[in-house]
Amino acid sequence: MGAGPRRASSRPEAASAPAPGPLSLWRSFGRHAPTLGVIANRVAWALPTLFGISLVTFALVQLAPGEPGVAGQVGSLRSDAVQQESSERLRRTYGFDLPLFFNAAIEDRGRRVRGAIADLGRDETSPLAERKLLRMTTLAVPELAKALSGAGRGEPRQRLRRVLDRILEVLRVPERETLARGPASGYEEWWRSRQDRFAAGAIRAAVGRLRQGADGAMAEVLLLHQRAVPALLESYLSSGASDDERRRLSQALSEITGHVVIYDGKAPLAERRSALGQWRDWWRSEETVYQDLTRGERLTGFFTRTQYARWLSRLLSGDFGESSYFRRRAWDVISERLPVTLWLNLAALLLAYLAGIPLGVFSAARRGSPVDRTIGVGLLLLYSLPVYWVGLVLVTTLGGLEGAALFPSGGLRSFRPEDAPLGSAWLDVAWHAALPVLCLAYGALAVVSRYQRAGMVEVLGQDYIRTARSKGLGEGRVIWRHGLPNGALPVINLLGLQVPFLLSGSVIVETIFDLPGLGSLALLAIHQHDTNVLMGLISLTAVLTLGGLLLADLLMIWVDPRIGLGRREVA
Amino acid sequence: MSAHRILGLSAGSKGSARALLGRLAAIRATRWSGLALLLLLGAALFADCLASDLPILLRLRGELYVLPNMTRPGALRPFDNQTLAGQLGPGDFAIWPLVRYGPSQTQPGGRLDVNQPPSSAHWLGTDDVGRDVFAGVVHGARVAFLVGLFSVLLSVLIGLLLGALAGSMLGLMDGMVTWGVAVMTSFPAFVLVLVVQGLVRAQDLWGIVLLLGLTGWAGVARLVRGEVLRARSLVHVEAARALGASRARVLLVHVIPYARGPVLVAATFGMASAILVESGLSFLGLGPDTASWGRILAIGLTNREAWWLVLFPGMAISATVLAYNFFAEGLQEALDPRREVLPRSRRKGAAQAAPGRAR
Repeated sequence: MGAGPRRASSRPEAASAPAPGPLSLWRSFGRHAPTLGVIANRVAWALPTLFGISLVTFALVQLAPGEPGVAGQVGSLRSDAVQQESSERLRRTYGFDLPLFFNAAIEDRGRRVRGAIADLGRDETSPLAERKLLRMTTLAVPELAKALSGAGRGEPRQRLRRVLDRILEVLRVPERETLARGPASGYEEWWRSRQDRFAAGAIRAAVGRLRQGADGAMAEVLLLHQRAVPALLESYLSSGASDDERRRLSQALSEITGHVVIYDGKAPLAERRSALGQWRDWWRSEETVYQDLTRGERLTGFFTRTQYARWLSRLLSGDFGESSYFRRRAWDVISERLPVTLWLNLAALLLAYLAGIPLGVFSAARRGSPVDRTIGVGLLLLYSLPVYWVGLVLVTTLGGLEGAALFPSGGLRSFRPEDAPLGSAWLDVAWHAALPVLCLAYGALAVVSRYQRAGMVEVLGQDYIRTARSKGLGEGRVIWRHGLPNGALPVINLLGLQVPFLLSGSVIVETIFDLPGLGSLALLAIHQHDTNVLMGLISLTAVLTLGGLLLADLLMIWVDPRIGLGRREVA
Repeated sequence: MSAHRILGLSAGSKGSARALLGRLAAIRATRWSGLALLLLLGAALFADCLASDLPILLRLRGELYVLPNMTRPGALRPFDNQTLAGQLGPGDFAIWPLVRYGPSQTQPGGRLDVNQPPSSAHWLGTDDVGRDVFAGVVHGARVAFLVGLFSVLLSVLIGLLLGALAGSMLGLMDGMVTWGVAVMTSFPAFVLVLVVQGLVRAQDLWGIVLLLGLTGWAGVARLVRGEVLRARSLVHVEAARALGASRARVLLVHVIPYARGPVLVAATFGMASAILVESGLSFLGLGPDTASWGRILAIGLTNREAWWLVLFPGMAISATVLAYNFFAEGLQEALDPRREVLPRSRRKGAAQAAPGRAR
């Protein structure tokens, strides 16, 4: 394994593969701009990895135990049909009704209604089908009325009539009594006579009147019932809607769908955004209940109406859904805690490089001496110490109650402002962060200085160093001015590998020191079974890691122009 | 890298294994770390003789019990060492373990000693529910050893298979494996293990082993792929191919042994990090439901004045991990063909750290 530490890079093509990147052809044309081609090449390499990351995270979601919410209903006193229906709704909410990767049988409005009508004819499925149709109200009326006209006498006709009658009851239709007593074909005629009210333009106009708060618009929209939902939601989510308009639209939506979200114009911004997000989530799962798909939509739906595609589209838009513990958008929860972890890790990285590079250079300059060997053993020792132990020891020996001890034992700010050193808020944070940063940094330091030593040892054996020595330069100048720039290359490449290392350490350090960062959030999410937050976290850490590797790669191209010319494995 | 290594490590001959042992013994760090690892192995094997709540050998009312905790669990249910001592009649005898407490025994002889500092009765003290820390540390060694060995065995097996397939078949297979490795290394190892464990909650030791093995293969696969690619162009491989050896034979007999040294080194480093990950999981309360070093440390996190709960298991973890890492370094040095050519002070590249998997 003596081939230099650069081998440890985790670029896909690092292990001396001759595999040309997807853009190598283009690169060979652009001789005057080689770096741009290389950069594009590296970025292009990251794309399949990103795709893989999304696949793995998606597989993890599938690992999450059970189907959330469904387990809680077992043993309830509600009737079978109610229970079945609510579990079906839950499955739809979480997308569990969709196939994982390919959807050959998309269930849209028409199919659902026809399926439910067929189920209505069978005794064992009819209670559930009846509830389904009742909930769809105006969406199901035309098909129901048509089925009723064609239905034979007896039990099937009775069931269809009962469903239609109860739908009209919900809608408070005045003609209900006469229709119930009239012939079976009466319903179909009734529907035909008011068809123009249910045309898309008419629905939009009614919703527009409700939005402006016109008198009687609410009753009008409630009569359109489920058919008005898509237009209502569109107005509600449109960016131009004012708080007052949103409140009215939300009221109508909650009334019709039974999915209650209260929109309060005076609530804080995060809460209002959460209300919007909840409707957006709801629509994502219920969309096919309300719409008929065209043939083209059916074709693309083969790929897009699947669990994975939904997951990917959410991932790409940074939307991880609602946190079940915090009752807020998962991404809001994560992004709020991101800075703490980032700053701690940046500080630790800085400390590790500032201390590690000189130590490695010093060690390399005295290669083989007792000092070098002692440093080597010490670094391996440092590398082997588990961070949770070091953290615990530091906390129990140096940490303590604020104001009384050398360092505070947890948190990021003093509880009482007067405890802050010199009364400065900045110094207070630094005082609190000192031990955590030390804990994160010492392992990275060991790795950095060992890489630095290895790189430096290799460089110091080269001819140009001998030349520099033989022309009479001082040893300090030879090492720091001539040796270091080349000897630091492995350490720069190492930068990418430090990101996962530090993120892993963050979980433990933030737990010990009680810091509000991503690591402690991960643990909290695990204990609270908050799958959405967890998925957001792991995607974020993977993307950060990938970004770190990419950054290190690009940095290498910048500091070592030879790589930019396409000769990657330079001796 | 030259043919030296192939000659030094040619497929499975006894002489080469002995030669490697000799080289290892010549390195001071390896001698010490090897000794420490033997100690760990001893503690893992004989944990029940060193500390147990029941005797090693017991004759009670005409019946003979050999290591009753292992052979007949539950047979002596209400008794422990302390109550058994009074039950021994004429003709009965018992061989007691070194320390007469078990790792999960909370009230030896009905006495509850909570949070006791080290004393002559409890050498390393007791924890917050009265369990003996020495017994916990000894039995934790077994967990650490098993987790380190078997999780690495699994990941090496997977990595070897995928890496060899990728390196020898190239094309689509190579692309897939390279892609898989890039994806797996994009997840911070500890975070990945933590999240998966948070979702599946493996309760027993083997669940954790499986988890670590299935997430840790990427490094080995990359290493093996690189070695196989390099070996393809070597003279003896070419010769074997020209002589008409089948693809599988070339791979198994001529190429894989070539990768054995680096894989051995990576596996030893891997054992250290597997132990670190397992203790880390236990420390966060997500480990296996057995006595483990990380679990004792976690109790120390909440009982901050009980320094013995932090010191002893922490030292055990650090010493074990250090021993593995030192041994891996020594192995690397011993397998380095340049070692015999160059005098000790001129060796290059002996001190490379493997980039840490997790902490």
